[in-house]
Amino acid sequence: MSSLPSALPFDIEVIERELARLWQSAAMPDRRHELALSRTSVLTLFVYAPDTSRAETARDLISRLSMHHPSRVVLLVATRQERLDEPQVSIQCNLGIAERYAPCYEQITITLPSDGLELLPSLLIPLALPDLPAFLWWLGPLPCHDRRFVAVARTVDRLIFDSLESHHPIADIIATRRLVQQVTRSTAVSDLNWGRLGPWLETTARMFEIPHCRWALEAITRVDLRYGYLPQHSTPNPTQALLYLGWMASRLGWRLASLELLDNGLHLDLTASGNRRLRWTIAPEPSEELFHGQLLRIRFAAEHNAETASFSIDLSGRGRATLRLRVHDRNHCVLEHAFHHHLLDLQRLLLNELQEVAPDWLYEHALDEATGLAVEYRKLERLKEHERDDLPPRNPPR
Amino acid sequence: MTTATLQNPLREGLRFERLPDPCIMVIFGASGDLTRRKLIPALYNLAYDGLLPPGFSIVGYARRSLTDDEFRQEMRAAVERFSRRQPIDPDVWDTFAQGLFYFTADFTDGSAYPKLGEVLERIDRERATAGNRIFYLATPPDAYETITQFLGESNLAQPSRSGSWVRLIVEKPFGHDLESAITLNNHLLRYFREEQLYRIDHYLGKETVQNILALRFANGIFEPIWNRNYIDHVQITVAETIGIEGRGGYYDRAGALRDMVQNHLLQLLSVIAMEPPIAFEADPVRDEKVKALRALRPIRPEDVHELTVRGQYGPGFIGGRPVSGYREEPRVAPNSLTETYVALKLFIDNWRWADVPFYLRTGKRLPRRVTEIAIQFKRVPHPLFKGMATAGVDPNWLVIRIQPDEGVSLNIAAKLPGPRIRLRTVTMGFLYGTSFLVQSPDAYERLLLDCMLGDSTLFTRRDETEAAWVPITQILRGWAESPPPEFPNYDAGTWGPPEAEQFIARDGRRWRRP
Repeated sequence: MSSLPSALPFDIEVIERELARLWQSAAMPDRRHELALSRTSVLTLFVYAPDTSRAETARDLISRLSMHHPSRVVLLVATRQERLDEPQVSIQCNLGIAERYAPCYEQITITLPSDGLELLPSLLIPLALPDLPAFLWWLGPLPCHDRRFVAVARTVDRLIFDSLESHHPIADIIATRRLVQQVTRSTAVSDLNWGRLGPWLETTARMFEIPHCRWALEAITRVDLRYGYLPQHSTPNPTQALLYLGWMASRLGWRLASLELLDNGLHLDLTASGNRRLRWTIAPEPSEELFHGQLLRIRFAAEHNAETASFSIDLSGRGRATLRLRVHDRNHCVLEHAFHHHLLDLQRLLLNELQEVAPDWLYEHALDEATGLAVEYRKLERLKEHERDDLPPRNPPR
Repeated sequence: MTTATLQNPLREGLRFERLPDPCIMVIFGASGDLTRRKLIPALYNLAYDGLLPPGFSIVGYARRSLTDDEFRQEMRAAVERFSRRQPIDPDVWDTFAQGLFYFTADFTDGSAYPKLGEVLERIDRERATAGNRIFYLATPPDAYETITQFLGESNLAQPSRSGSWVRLIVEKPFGHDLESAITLNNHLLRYFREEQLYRIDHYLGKETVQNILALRFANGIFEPIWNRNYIDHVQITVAETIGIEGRGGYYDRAGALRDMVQNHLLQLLSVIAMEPPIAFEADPVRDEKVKALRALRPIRPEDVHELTVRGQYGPGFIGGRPVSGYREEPRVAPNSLTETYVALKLFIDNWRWADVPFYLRTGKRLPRRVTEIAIQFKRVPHPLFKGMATAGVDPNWLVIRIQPDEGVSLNIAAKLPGPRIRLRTVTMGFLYGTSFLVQSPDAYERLLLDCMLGDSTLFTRRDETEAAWVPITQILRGWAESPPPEFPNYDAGTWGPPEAEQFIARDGRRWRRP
């Protein structure tokens, strides 16, 4: 049994008192700018940073978010130091947004021990503004295997994390699904990595709405999906790719028939309605760090009687800032469509999540399917590990 | 290729569920200002955000001879100048521009329309636009009848295949009085069905106007007091600092009453005054708006003087800079009697609003650009706090600000801290733009997208435009029978003619300082 973390060296009520004092002193209109400070709250945002460098990243983002977003932000910074800092309380007001008002937000910064997971509910509950949704944005890998984390997640209306941060992507997909089920009555769970898939899902859906292409949805034979992989990273992160496949499978009723691990990626055979078979290839491809774990390209091939067509969706353009759809018939490109995707804009991704309170059933269904794939993947991995243990390797291990 | 109508299970549950069908938008008046400043930038912005369907195409129709490439270059320059998305994304632009085409012809040349039809058929084949069309009349209003007649006679006004649709967007003004509005509507309906018509009033595309409906009908606390028992009066102000911005030719024939009140101000009035619709859908919402407009008390010519004030600006200063008077503006008659300011008092004769005055005012060259609806509640029935305690305390105001600083504020009386009872008015406000986390889309973006989606909630229906012309025509008649006004009667940079202050003061009220 682990020892209890040390208690925090302050009283939570002091924070509220200090905030009240700050608002009182700020209540006079700003004479220099002839502005009234405006206190509007739409939510409480808790941000958990596992270290000071991530806390700095979060601070920067919070400050930009606050330009359009008056609320209470509580930054929880984990530290390994024994001596914890006093909490900091401030009111930040933004000039220049509105003509007569300066919208403000409250920021509270609390340091806590890095092993202080069970302390968190006792901070989150009293610091959440009443009657407004509370969000917890968890930076760094989600401790989804830690049983104590369930109690943390249950204290907020929405938990936001990023599976791109995961060190063990396949195991974490399974654990995340378990967490989603455990907190389903109280908390919606959002994965920013799923949010990044939004434009891909949208483009895929609209591809099959082009009148020339509707037939192809029932006639897909092959899908080739590539995602980014920074070779210096320890492992590829196929979470986004598996969630994408999970989404299609859940929407179209595809079932996994077989899965094969390749040296570089995997083959999946799926059955669709009418016992039709289709093959997916999912493979990592070297990329810049920004695109590690992110989809780079999907190619669909469809065939029905004498008809054939192929479709591709690619990140393209300068800085891969555009998502481009191309539709080909047997001979040539018949249609192109492109739009700006905002995939790399963390602020925008986060804003999207902060607008949602209800659970995202589409994500949950995709996660269910991805979990099924992850379980099969793990079985094969273990099998391979056993084979390696039983037989002397023919080649030196990679 | 095989085509079939299948349900797309991939669409369900996506956050951007509103995706229009592929279509072609034909813009009549493609070389005009509206196309350059508003339409093409708005369409590019929609493309940038991924809200346009693949294959979406635009055909610019105008007299000036241009090639497709020249049109694309001109439109690119327009987007570079007027789009809110800067800089232009070359990838997005390239695919957007692939769908830009130009058709050189005169609106009055009937033989051009069958050729236009052939162009549209070709684009359908090449870009899978499935026979779906939007015709946008971005032309002077005197071309509306000719264009729609030729569209109808060339079989372009109705879908050419099953499952496809044809829509027509008409820009204001919808006529210049009730009679001409009825004539125009009758003409349009000879070739199009009402559900194909999208009469655009960009005010309705503004987020805050839609937010009025949310404020009224999604909050239980307002509706019970939203009536004559609790509301003393309503003020609707649309003030502009700009002059007529080179539109002298049009404006001198229209004036503020036709240009602003008939559409924008009466639209605002109708969303404030309407009864709760049974659903937030096009017809239920518009049914209730029409009922409110139809309940406007008729204005007899002899009452027009009592119920209206008109003004015209002379030279003055705006933001510390001298500006010329209206009569010195280009293409304005030097002895023009056109009003650039108007204030009105209207009544809605129904159970909810009987005897509650609605004061409307709008003007050009006023000191601030502001659009707001201010609702003043009645004073408390018994003054509990007397004398000095209540000095400086106004009755409650609920103010819905549309621009700038979109939001809602409520003035309430509160006690000053201390042993004595002294009350002060305090404002509780929320700023729409800073409380929610996204930038509001431009009104044209919203409305163009709605039209592509076939959602006409924010467009005006025939009966709505005609109902709005009724009081306007009554006022115009009254003015025509009155002696000519002594114009100019207010300096640019002031809140309008002094008569406007006396006009409301006669009722024991005053204009808010917005």
